[in-house]
Amino acid sequence: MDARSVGLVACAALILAAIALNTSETGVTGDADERAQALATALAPGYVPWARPVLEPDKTQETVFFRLQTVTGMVLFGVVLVIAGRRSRRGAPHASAARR
Amino acid sequence: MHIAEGFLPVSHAAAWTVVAAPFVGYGMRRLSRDAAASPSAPLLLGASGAFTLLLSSLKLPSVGGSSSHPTGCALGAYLCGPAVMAVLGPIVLLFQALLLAHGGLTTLGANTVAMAIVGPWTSWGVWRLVQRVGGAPGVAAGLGAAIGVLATYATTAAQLALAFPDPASGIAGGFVKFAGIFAVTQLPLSVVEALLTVAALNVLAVRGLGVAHGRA
Repeated sequence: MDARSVGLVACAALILAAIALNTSETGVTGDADERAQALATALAPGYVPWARPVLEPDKTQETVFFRLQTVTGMVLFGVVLVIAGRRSRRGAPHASAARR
Repeated sequence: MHIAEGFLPVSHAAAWTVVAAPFVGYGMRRLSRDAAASPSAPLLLGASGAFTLLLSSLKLPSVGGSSSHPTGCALGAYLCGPAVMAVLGPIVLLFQALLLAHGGLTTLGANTVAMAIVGPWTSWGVWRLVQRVGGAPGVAAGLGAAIGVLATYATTAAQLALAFPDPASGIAGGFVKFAGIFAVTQLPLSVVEALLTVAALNVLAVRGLGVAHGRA
C-alpha cells in the first residue's frame, strides 16, 4: 500500500471512530428522517400512517441492532479482505469489474 | 433517507414498488450471470454488501443537532455494476425495516428506488464520466460517491414532496423544504461517503479486487 493509500485508510478509520463515538451520545434523536416525517405531518396534518413497523425497538434495542449491523458489516468486509489477500498471495486471477 | 413505515399513501407506495421491480429483476439476472462468470464475483459481491451494511449503520451527527447515515452504495456500483445494487440495497433496507423500524415494508419500493437504484446509477455515471474526461480514478470514485449519496437524498425529498406537497407552493415548494432538511446532514456526509469509498477501493485493490479503470 502506498503512502497515499495509507493516509486515506487512516482518514477513513478516524472518521469511523468519530462516528462511532458520537453515535453513543446522540443515539438516533434529531434524525433527518424524523425531521422529514415531522414536516410531512405539518404539511398534511390529517395524514395518518396506514401501517406500523413490524418491530418497534426501544432506544437501547435500536442501538444494539445498529451495532449488530455495524459489526456484521465490518466482519463480512474483513472476511472478504482476508480471502482476497490469500488468493492474491497464491496468484489466483481476479476479475476486474466495471459492469453495467 | 428511509421513509418510515406507512408514511407514503398507498398509491404512492405501490407506484414506487412498481418502478423498483424491473430494476430488481434485472439486477437479479445480472447477479446470477456475473456470479457464474467469474470466480472473484462472490468476493466482489461480499465486499459490496458488507460495505453497504456497514456504512448504512453509521449515524453521523451534523450541524443543528441532526443526524443521518451514508449509504455505501457507490462501492458496489463500481465493483459489481449499478444494476446489482438494486438487489443488494433492498437486503440492507429489509434488515433495517424489520429490526430497526428504520424505513418499512410498505416503503421498501420507494427506499429501494432512492438508495439502491438512483444513488448507485448516479455514482457509476459520474465515476465513468469523470474518468472519461481524464479525471484521476480516485477523484472519479470520490466524486461519484458524493454525488450519488446526494442524489439518493434528493430522490427521497422528491418522493416525500410528491406525497406531501406544500399547500402554498406545491410539489416544488415541498421539495425545497424536504431537501433543505436533508441537505444539512447530507452535504458533510457526502464528503465522508467519498473518503470511505475511495479508501475501501484502495484496500480492495491492494488485495487484487480492483476495478477495470485502474486503482481508484
